[in-house]
Amino acid sequence: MAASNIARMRQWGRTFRPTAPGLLSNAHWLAGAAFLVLGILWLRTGIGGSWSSDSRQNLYLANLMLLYMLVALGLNVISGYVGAASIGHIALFAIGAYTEAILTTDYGWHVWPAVLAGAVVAMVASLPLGLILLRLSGWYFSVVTLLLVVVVSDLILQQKELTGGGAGVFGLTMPYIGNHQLDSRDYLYFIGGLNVVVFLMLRYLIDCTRWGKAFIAVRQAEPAARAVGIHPFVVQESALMISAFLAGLAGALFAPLPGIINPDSFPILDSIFFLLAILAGGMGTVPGPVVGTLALYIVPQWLNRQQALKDYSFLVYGLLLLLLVIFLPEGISGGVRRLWYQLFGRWMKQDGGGAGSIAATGAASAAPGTDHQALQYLRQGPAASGDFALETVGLSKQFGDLVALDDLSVQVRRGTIHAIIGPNGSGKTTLLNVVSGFYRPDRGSMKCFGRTLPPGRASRSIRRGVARTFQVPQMLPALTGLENVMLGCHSGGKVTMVDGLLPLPHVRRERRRFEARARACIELVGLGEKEMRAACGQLPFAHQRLLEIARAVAGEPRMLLLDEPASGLHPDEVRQFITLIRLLRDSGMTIVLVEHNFALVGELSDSITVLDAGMLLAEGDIHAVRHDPKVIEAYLGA
Amino acid sequence: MIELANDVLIPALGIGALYGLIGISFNLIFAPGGTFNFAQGQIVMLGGLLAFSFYQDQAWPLVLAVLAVAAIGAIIGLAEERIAVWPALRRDPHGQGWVLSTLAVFTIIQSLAIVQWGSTPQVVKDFPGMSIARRDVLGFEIAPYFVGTLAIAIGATIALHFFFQRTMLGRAVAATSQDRDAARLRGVDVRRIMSVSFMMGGALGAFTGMLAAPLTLATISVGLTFTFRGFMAAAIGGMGANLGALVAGLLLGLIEQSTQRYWQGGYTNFVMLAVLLSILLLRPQGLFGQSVARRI
Amino acid sequence: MAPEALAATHAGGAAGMALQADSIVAGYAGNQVLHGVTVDARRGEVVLILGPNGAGKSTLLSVISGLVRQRSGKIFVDGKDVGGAPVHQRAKMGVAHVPEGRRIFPRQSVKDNLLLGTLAGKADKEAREESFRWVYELFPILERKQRHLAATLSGGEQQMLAIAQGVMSRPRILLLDEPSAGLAPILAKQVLDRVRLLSEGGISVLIVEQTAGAIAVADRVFVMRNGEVVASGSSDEFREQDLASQYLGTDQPGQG
Repeated sequence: MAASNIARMRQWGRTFRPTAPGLLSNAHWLAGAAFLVLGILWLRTGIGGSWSSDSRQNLYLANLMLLYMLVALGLNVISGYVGAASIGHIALFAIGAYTEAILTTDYGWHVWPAVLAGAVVAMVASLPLGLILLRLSGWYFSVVTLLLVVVVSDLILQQKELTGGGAGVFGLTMPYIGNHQLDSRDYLYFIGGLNVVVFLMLRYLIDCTRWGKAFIAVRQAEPAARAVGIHPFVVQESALMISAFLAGLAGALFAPLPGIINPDSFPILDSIFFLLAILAGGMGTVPGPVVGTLALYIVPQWLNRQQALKDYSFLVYGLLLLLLVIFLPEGISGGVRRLWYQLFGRWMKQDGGGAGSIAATGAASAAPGTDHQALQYLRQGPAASGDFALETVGLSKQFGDLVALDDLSVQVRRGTIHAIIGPNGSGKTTLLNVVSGFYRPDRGSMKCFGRTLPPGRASRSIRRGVARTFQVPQMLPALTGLENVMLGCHSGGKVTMVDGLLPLPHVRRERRRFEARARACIELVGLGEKEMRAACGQLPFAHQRLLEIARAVAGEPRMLLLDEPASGLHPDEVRQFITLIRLLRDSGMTIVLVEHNFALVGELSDSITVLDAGMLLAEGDIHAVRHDPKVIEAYLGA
Repeated sequence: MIELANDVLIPALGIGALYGLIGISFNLIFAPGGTFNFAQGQIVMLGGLLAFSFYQDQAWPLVLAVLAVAAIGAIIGLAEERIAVWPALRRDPHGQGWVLSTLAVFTIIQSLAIVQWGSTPQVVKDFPGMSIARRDVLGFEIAPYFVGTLAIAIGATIALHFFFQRTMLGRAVAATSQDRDAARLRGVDVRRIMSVSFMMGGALGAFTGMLAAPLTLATISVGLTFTFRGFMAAAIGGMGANLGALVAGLLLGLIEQSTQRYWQGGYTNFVMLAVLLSILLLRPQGLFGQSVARRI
Repeated sequence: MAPEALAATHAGGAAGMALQADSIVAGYAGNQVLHGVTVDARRGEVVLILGPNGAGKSTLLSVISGLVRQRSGKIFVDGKDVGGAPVHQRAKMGVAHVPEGRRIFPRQSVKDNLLLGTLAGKADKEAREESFRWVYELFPILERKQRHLAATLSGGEQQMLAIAQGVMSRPRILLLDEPSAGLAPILAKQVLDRVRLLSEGGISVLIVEQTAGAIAVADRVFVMRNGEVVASGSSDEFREQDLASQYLGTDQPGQG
């Protein structure tokens, strides 16, 4: 690869301001943890008591606040990261509370197992809700969670024998540790500690394992998520389960505090409070729920103390919510972040520029060659068998009246660069979507490296070693280039959502492995430290394209499907791209290229398939195809 | 058999018609921007309370009261669109900030209604010719009220059909709902269409609240129930399909009346949610709807 | 209707220029697509913009119709600066953009689709009926199928409907994005022949295509690549043979 081109691209990249999210997210969670500690101290030292002399009442409220913070931490996973706003968390909280209450009073369970049972029951109750997300857009989920609140309160009133109806369940006792029964002051420390543990676990899961990126990907770039082997439904359902588990846990821990629970203990307004809290703190940020709960918890308490204002509490919630959505949708921490950039932006920019040039010199010595690290990763992949990387037989696909693929049989030889060309609407992209498992063909079969490829299953295609890119790069704009490329490693990951909660050795190892692989892939496509650290949405189009290829390569595919990869690239970038594709081919990868640029195809490809109206028009090398009268007619429309 | 008709079928159709109307009012708002108005049930609730103030308390003539209620509904709809929905959509046309901002309007209306009317249910007298008392017709016992609501719902559905088929404004709204950008290119002012739709939805919602008031009493607690039923009617019928909403509304009426008669009434919502989930999972676009399945 | 009569309805305008788009720079988020593109169309002229995918052709049309805001550059329609007007206003100022992919309103009848096309035109009934007569004369199939739902039309018919819809407001400039895409060659030819008739009726037409089939009906051609105009001239200069080598490429890939 021409060094001057790399340098030129670096130069270009330097004009973009890096956002350095890594640094900032660390600052964020430190701030969040500090907030939590300060909050507990504030309550503990009695400063908080100055607004009331009743310390029992204060302890109760402090406990409740920490429990609500726990709900908010969980809500942030489904509503903040996955982006489906739930209005039903108070119902899950109530389910947890009633489960605990009923098990301890009617069935004589000990408190701790009953608490765990409450969390599990809430989690199970949430499962049907996830089905909504499977096929419908997010707002349906929001409405159905609202309906859940109505239904749960109906059921509580109906099942009088179990729940005591309107009177509720009473005689609940605080749990024991050993022989010591906890009082509400002990409880405060216990729940505070639990909050810190949950906070750190979720932070680890989201910031440091493949799942955090998967949560964000299923919302912001579902095609990309599927292309790297993420199953959107599984991820959304899991996020919902985590969220519901925490809401149920908080509810179950709540029940012993007042000693009595009834339907009035769970007003729907509290559901709106949870949303308000994470919105105020910053939806989809790690410290958001903590900051938001602390910042807003004072509001309802203050309102309750002002008799004259009590009726207006709904109004205050509503206005706050409205103002936040309209004026501060990024929340308090987002606002702080913006302020941070206004104050220190210049300094950050200079710092970023320096780092960029270091990276440029560093990467120049590691200019891609046949011994490049990423290529070594690729060679470690399983050995391919069969002469053909891809064989399709009689593929047909129809959209309504439009025949996109018509009995199409193509063969792609292993280890070649194979171009698929044709006029607009000739079915090139459809073919690519079928092979990568995004569309299910109406008829026909596919073989990949000699083995049958199940149709319509993107996650299976990726596991067979088929990776792809999109016509318009599908990147997650808020994540850094490095994080985006690490997403490509997803299908090779072993860490589950459970062990991902803790910094266990194998979890850390996987993260290091992914990061090293992603770095190598980014360097392979000719980008450097700057593109790794910058938010992807800030990068120029060409860099997003290259990062997308890097992400596909990070999945260690044996066959790479590229959908018009050169469109929108500058001439120099096209040269660089050609070098890269040849390098990948020479390392043993099969490349399938859907492309419009005839000149590029002529230079790059080993063989060509020409499609027209979903059918095979011509096959062969560039010379055969270029002089085929049928091809000339199809292109020139003569 | 006759007993079944008297006690279940006829009330089911009459009450179902109300749910259908609320579903249609959701549809009107949904059409141009794909926004679901979380506050819609509250506007319906407000319609009932306003009916109490104007028609019962102040004893205004019926026509004047209807016009006033509908006008206030329209104004609330317009204000909501301008203050809560448009700014959220302008920031991110594909985002769902409007879920939270219309939820905010839900709580604001709740609060203002408590302050103004308190939480005691209020009686609203029958409308002329629409008595709730049963009357013997051809061997059936029929309350004229139920016939009236059904007739009004059918009339509204037909009127809206003509609005969308025969008027330029209606065609423009329909066009906007199918392809927003293509409509703009043909000269449709999408912002104005949004405002008109929210006004129509608000007016119909408040009117329905007034219509329902003699049956449900005027009280703040019906807001959530109406959101529930209206959404179910709209979603089961297919978002945007008015005939679908009416049919689904009647179906809901039937479910409600039969669970109340043959099982315990407290399980109505539970049964409805189960029906909703099964229908949405089998046919996400609803019974009469165009496909809303997400595209790749 | 006679072409002269229609031309008479389009009086005025400086120097006979229906459209001037001057040094347009535009793009999406961090990605600049157009790097200073200048194109123009005289009254009654058919101008073809050729270029591969990603050249920025569709973006250029979107900038002219206002769907995408330009970062710099000016747009004049009949000598009037329309660069600051919102989309629906521009439609009323005489810009009719027919986007790619036959974006008709599938759930409405053919006639309703056409009626929606008149929204941006003159409001009086007479003008509307004249537009109908004219469009039905150009596309007789649409009159026969005026009561059908647009979704039930064939691909070619939908494309004709989309163009007819754009014509109903009697625009100054008609922007057609890949009108022949996805159509069988014979249908594509039919559609393009109708476009030629439009221009004879006094409407200027800007066509964007990836393939050179439309060159037969064009008066002038611009070739775009990577967001820049790389060649332009009268369509006679772009003889098929030259174009084949320029466009299908014996030149180096990635170079203008």
